[in-house]
Amino acid sequence: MDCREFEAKLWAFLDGELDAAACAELRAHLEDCPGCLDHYRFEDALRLFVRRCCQETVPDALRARLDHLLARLEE
Amino acid sequence: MGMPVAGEKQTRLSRPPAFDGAPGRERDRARFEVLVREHLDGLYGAALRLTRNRADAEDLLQETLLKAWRSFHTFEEGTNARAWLFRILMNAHIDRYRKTAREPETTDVEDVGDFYLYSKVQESELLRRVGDPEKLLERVMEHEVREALESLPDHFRSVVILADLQGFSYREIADILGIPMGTVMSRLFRGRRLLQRKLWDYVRSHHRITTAEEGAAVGL
Repeated sequence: MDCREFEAKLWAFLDGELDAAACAELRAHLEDCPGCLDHYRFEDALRLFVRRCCQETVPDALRARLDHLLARLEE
Repeated sequence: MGMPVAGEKQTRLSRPPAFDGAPGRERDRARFEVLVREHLDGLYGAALRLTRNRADAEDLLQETLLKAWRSFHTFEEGTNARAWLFRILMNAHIDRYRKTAREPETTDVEDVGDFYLYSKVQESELLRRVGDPEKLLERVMEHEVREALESLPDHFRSVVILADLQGFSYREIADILGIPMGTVMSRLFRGRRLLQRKLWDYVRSHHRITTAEEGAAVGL
């Protein structure tokens, strides 16, 4: 596997969408290629960062409204 | 004693869910309530990124719960409840979006090719200057990341939200949106490239990278 092939499969690999054989190939490449290892780390960190930035909690006022709604679902 | 209670949020329940001895409908209601509460924050987060404003997100979430309750009898116990709820959310969003038609359907999105933020950063030698990617991202503001995501056309944004914020598998996303797996992948990858390009604009402005500097390291 060369770097271009690695790059093409990188996201699917991070998404846990590759089969065991493909994962093994990518891992083997990572062991030999510091550049791709770097890229891999970056994509992983970036995705976590995006997720963290977009984390939301239902505000109290809305929660109260939804509580009310859930309590009256029967009607 | 004095220990934090696990699942604190659940203590705000006005009445405890009654599983035993409750009449059928009441039991359903309790079951539904527990299921919904577990996924409320996730649904709300997705609704915010989909609608891009709080008022619409609140309406969308409320509508989702009502629709989910109405079709709860069709929900099969033991199947993927989270995916079921997100499917209802997405469908409700698409219905509302079509009705309001606030922006034209984007069928013709510029091709961004193989854009990787990582490569841009490498080419500009920024990573060498800053040290590690985490540091590089630190200066990008949280609201900028949300803006960048919200700037994506709806088709791409939906898939990125489901994959990157909610962690659904490609198969689950295909089922939620009713599209083929191949379409999920192409939209997801294209959406990520668009997102990374937008983030690159922010990184560039925060680290004062000029267009001349950009790519200066290429060919070295």
